Amino acid sequence: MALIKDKILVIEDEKSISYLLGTVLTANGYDVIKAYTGTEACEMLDAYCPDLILLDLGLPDMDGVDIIRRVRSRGTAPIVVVSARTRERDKIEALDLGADDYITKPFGGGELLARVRAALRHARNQVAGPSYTQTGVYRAGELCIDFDRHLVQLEGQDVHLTQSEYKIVSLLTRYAGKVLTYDFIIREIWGEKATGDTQNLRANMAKIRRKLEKNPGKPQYIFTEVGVGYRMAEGE
Amino acid sequence: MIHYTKQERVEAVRRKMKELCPVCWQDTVILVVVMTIALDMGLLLQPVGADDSHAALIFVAGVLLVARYTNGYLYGIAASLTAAIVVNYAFLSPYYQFELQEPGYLLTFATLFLVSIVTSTLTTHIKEQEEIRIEAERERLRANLLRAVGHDLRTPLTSIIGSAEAMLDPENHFTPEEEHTLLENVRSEGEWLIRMVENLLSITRMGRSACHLQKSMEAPEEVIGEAVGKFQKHFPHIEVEVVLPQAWLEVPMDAMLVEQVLYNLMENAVIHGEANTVILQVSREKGWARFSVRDDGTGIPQERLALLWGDYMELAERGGGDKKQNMGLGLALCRDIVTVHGGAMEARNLREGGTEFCFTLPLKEERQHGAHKG
Repeated sequence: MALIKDKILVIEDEKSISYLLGTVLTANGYDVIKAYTGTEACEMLDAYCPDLILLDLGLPDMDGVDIIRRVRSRGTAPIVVVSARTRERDKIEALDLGADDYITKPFGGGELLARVRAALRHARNQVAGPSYTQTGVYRAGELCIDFDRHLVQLEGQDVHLTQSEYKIVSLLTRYAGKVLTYDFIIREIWGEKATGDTQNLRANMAKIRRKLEKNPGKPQYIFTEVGVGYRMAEGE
Repeated sequence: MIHYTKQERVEAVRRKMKELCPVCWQDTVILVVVMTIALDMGLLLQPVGADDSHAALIFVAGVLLVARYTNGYLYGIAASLTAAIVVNYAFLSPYYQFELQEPGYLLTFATLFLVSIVTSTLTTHIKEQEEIRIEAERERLRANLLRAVGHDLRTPLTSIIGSAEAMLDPENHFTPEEEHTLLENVRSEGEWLIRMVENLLSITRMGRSACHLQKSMEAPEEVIGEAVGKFQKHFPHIEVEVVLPQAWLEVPMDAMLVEQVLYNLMENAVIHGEANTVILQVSREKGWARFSVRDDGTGIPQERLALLWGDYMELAERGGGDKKQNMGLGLALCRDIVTVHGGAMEARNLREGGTEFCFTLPLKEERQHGAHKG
């Protein structure tokens, strides 16, 4: 474990969930501070500069979305949103405003820790240089993407991707482990004006899946978050 | 809370208009057929009849029939107008020309018009009464469902609270195994609760008709991918096979709900069928996408197979605190989700053992739902 513990701010009004999150994170070597209301959270954000923020959107005194805005207006600390299943729109809004990831209730400790680790790693990579993952090599399982040579290999065999397919894959890889919303991907690949047309993106994703996944119905590398977007598996 | 968008309000006004004056080909056929018969009878009786009043009476009967057996006011009024014109033209002297001065004719026309309006009003009333009755019945079943669910939730909650209290009590000295079992119980009861709640949430999400669905074009492979992912998280030891068509396929659906269907079916296979392998298959059949979930489990006893598809509200009524009831609820929900999508669902035991559940979804959307972006 790192010598300096990562500081995590848990913003959650339910005492029992907050305790649970706190205990699991502390037991895994994180430094945890807790806020139970939005106002408290804002004070703590200024006072402690946490390395990561775990945020429940449903707070009693404030819309969780405002906290995301506040955090993003002053820095890049990763935000992981805790959300209830029924609100895809909230998830999309939170991600588009700059949240890094979300985790849906009910979730287990393992899943929580995986998301927290991924978000922290991302934040660090971002600091190391914005183009960090676009050079070098990405590896996950049998998949290998060499960005310097524009080469995608599966089990050592070259995979031929079209221009847009390669652009999508490299975009997802740059943010590996993180959900990218449909709109975000479309904007990055086809430009500002192309928003809204998910059909084209889906068709491209289907082709990519057929080229990269052994079984497109049981993906290993590119996961769908139905109604929200796509997530690439964490690199090794 | 329900919010109506502007589009939904316009839709509501249009629906009201449609309700009062609906246009459909069945009703048009009724109108044409009845009026033709009335005309023929009038013409047939003309040489025999003593005076022309028989024709007017035949047409009154015709208008009455049309107004009674068509929806709304439109066809009744159309029938009375047709009748008035035909009677005037063909059955009142001077024959085969229009005569509008005759006071008797105005009376005939007024009578025909009145008959159509009164009958249409009565018909509409009868239909409204019927709807109110059905609505009341639904309300009653809903209340029963809530009560039954409330009862069902008590059992696992009792177990959770009891286990926790037992472990908190300093008087109790449990062996590590006992403690482990108590905690394991808390977890499994909690998981049962969350499944129940997910199903209930889907019921509320679905509402009671197709217009509540949040449909968009979805790729079955993506929905299956996510459902299988979630399933494997809970049941990592179960072998899941997915068979997809090579060709790109898109189906209009509420992805969240269809995912729930697939998840429920896989989970049933494991929990109730004790299966070790589950096979999901999607294929395209003419205008339909066919989803199949097969397992290698114990199959469903023949006598249960027939009772499988109860209304979840009826199931709740049958009740009885049986945990297996959750299967009934889950399945009835699956069937309802498929039905509001315009598809069908069936179950059968496989000859080689195990069960197959399959359902179809139409590939074409009904006209009124524009594909809205995800």
